[in-house]
Amino acid sequence: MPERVLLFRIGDSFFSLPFSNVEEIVSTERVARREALPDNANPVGDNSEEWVFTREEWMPIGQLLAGINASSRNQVLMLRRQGRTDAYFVDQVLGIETLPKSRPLPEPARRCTDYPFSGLRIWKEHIVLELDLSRLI
Amino acid sequence: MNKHMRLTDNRLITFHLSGHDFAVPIEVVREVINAEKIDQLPGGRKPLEGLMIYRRDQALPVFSLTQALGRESETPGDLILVVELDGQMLGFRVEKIGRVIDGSGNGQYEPLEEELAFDPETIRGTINEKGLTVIVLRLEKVLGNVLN
Repeated sequence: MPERVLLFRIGDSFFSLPFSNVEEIVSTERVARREALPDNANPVGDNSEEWVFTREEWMPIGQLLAGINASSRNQVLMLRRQGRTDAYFVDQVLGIETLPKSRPLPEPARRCTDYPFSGLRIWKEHIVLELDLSRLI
Repeated sequence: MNKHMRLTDNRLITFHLSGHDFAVPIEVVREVINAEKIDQLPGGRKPLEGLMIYRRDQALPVFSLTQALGRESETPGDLILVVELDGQMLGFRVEKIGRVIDGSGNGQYEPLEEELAFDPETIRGTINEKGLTVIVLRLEKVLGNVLN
């Protein structure tokens, strides 16, 4: 059954997520460094260097996949799962599309990574890796 | 019975890679294709090189045979040898495809010369093919970590 997914890019890699988990896509105009936060931001208990202002509050921006840094960091994804919302930098949101269900990662490849991929798709001559949010957030 | 039917296919296909000539059983080889864009898998560990779009709508895991054999060097080559092992399709880059040779050898492979310094578990032995030393691989051992 086709699924509605958000497609985005970090570095040279293409990823997808169930669109139902995307709360918001925020531009970097609403991002501030920790030292530039207003006094009432109160970033207690979190050492994140960068924060995003959304829905009347400042939220720390995390790294979606450890070791994979968004280089241009043009957008921030607000992802929701089980009542919790987290913010992550991505390089580029590519679109929202209805695509066939993802297929499993080939087993020999899956054995070579601990990253939370639940499957993959071929989209416009790119391999798009589906992220398993239950293991991410 | 068809007189051309082979009950056991002992033929090997040879290829050149990183200064050595290797051979694998032809019965596991599905095809040889040109290496296209290989996308690194985030967090991917050696010997995985990455994923390549295969037959338009599939992703083929491509492995570095030299790294799987314990060498640190990058794998050169513009060809991908696609094999099926334990029901899994995977590929590895090679520089040049050689020829099909008889691998029955009457069960007699030469032992691996120590100076080649490969893990003996991964090598079935060597065959002298017209003056060339061809190293016959046990692919299921070479790539054992990603198959089991």
